[in-house]
Formats: sequence, structure tokens, C-alpha cells
Amino acid sequence: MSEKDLSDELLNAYLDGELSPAEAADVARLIAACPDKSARLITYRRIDQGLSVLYGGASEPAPRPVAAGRTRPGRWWLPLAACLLLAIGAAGGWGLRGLDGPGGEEQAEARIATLATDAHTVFVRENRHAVEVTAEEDEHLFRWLSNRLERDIFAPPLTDYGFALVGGRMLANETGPAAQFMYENAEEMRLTLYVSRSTEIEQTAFQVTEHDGVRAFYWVHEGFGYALVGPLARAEMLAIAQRVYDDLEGPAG
Amino acid sequence: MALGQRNAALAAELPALRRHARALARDPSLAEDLVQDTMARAMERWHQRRPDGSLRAWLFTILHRTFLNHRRREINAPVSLTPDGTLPERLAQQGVTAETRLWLTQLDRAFGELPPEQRQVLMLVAVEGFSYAEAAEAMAIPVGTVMSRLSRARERVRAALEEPGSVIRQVT
Repeated sequence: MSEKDLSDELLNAYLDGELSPAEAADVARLIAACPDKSARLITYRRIDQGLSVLYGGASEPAPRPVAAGRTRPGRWWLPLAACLLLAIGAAGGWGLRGLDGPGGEEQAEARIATLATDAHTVFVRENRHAVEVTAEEDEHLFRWLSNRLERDIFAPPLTDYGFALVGGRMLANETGPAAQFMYENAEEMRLTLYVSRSTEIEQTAFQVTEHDGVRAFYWVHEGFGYALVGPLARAEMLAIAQRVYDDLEGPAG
Repeated sequence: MALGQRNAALAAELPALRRHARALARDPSLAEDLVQDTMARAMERWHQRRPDGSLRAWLFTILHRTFLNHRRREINAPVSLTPDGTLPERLAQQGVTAETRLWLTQLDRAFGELPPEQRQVLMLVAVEGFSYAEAAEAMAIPVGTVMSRLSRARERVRAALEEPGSVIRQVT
């Protein structure tokens, strides 16, 4: 695909998450090389966001329900917290990144960790374009990503650990759309939370991978994979993860 | 599902249908007609609904078909600048800054000036998060037409916002 193939319709399809991961990657490369298209994409996103504010009923908390039996906002990982196992450093937990081999649960989990770590590495370097939608529009962000992933998702607050939500973005992988939320502390260290569909159906224990000083804590639950990625020491990452689960297990949800 | 449950499920979707219809129709009385017709049709066709599908998506599909029928009858529907004339007040209540409010007012105007079929496709895809296939089904048009309308709609809104006199440059 070359620059002249980058039609307006393709740009729109990219914006709306209608492309396959391979196509989306091609289009993203072309857009990055073309300032005019990049600017247009940003304006289009702003228009979409504005329309959602105007007509999207921001006062209505429930995103468009897509299936019966869907969990409500704020409760999507409670069942996991109830039976959370921390398999830190256990065999199979380390060094799975980039593992090729026959399909299996470990590989699918590691795939989520790989995707999340790669996305983390790419976007934490960005300043102006670190996120698509900033934390100022968090309601819109959560609703938009919930609609795209067909799952109620949000970014749990991590302010007690000095991390504020920067915002989030939609990404694509082989399972379809993915969500990335980014947090930052006063030292400009960044954490990301990555969520997408998983090829595995089984709920799994919490696991961790490490690559070039970046750790990914990840798990699979009800068909979705989740990964918290950051450069903090293992004990700190663990403390943040535990605190998040403690908060979410409480009756306030 | 018992009738009571059906009616409760439909009633729960009324606010979403109303705001959607107002944005689409740009006229409060036409919007109310659309909502009433949609509700009546939903009750008649309740048994045709996929039990595992999204009720809201199904209702929006009916609403958009109803809108198309209205459009065939009333080609020159009046266009008001805001769906209910209360836009700036409502945004102020939501804590939106004056600057953003101005930009949103211009966006509202640019959106209102789009042809109805372009408003439809933007509402479904950009606001409600419908896939192109779902939007095509709702509007009874091919996916290719969804793509071309959507692309024209976004470009037209962008051009309108970037006209001289628009404030978009001040806020981006």
C-alpha cells in the first residue's frame, strides 16, 4: 500500500476500527508519514468526541448494551479478584515473551503480555500524542472503548500510588480492537493498562513477564486479556495491583 | 418475556431514543413523532427481535428506518440550530468551559447543516459505536454507501469548522 492508496474512506475505516490488524498497521504507517492526513485524523477524532458530548447522552452511564448478561460498569473484574492468585516468578511466569510453539494457555497469556508491552513501549515515549482521548473526557473514553470492545471497561483510579490517568486510546490486534489506558506519576513514569479479547476462554491466575526493565502483570478472564505494564520494581507493581484488587473487591465496587 | 417486562425494557431506552431522534431530526416535534412510531413498531414486532441481541441497537435500527420513511414524505423538514434549543445551558451545567462550549455550538451547527443521511451515519457510527455493517443494516444501504457517506460527512463538518470565522484554531 502506498500513500496514494490512502483514500478518505480508508482513513475513516481506520478511525472507526473497521480494518484488519494488518491493514490498520499499513494505514497507520502511511498516516504517520503524511502530516495532512494525521491532522485530518486528529480533527475527525475531535469531531467524533464533540458529537458524543453533544448527542451521546453523557449523563447516561450505561454504554450501548451489546449482549444479554453483560456485566455493569465498574464490576468487570470483581470475580477475578475473588480468586486471585499471584504467581510471581513461578515457573512459566517468566521469559514467555516471544515464545513460539504449539498453542496453549501460557502462550495465549504471553501473547497478551507481548502486545501490551509493545504498545506500552511505543506510546509511553509520546508526549503530545500519548493518548487519543485525555482523562478530561474519561466518561466518553470509557464509553467509547466499552462500545468498541463490546465489554464494559474503565481505568481504575491509581491516585493513591501517585499515578493519575492521562487518558486512553484504541489499538488493534489479531482479535480486533484493544484498549490502552495510560497513567503517569510526578516523575513522569508511566503505567499502561491494556485490554483486548483473548483467544483463551479460561480464567487464569495473575502472571508476570519482564522485558528490558518493563514488567507486564497479566491475566485472562471471561474471554478478555488484561495487562498492567510499567517500569516499576516488582514489589511496587505488585503493591499497586493488590491495592487495585482490594479496592474493587469492596462493596463500593 | 411478559408484557410488563417488555414495556419496562422499552421505557428504559426512551431517553436514549429521544436524544438520538432530536439530533437526527433537528426538530422537537418530528423527533417525538419518530420516537412514538419507533415504540409502536417495536411493540408490534417484539417477537421478531433477536433475544440475545442489543435492544438499543434494534430500536435505533427501527428509528432510522422510520426516519427514512418520514423523509420520503417530508423532504424539506425544518432545521433548527440545536436539537432542543437548550444546548449552551445544558453544556454549562455539565461543566464544559466557555471556549469548548463555543466550539461545540459551531460543531452542532455544522452537523445540523449536513444532509439527513449524513447525520444518520455519523450518529450511528461516531456516537453510538455501530460497526459499518450494523449501520448499513440500520439504514438499509450497502456498506460501501455507509463508507462514502461517512467520509463525506466528516470532511464536510471539518471544512465547516475550519472556515474563516470559526474558532477551531483558537482551541486546538
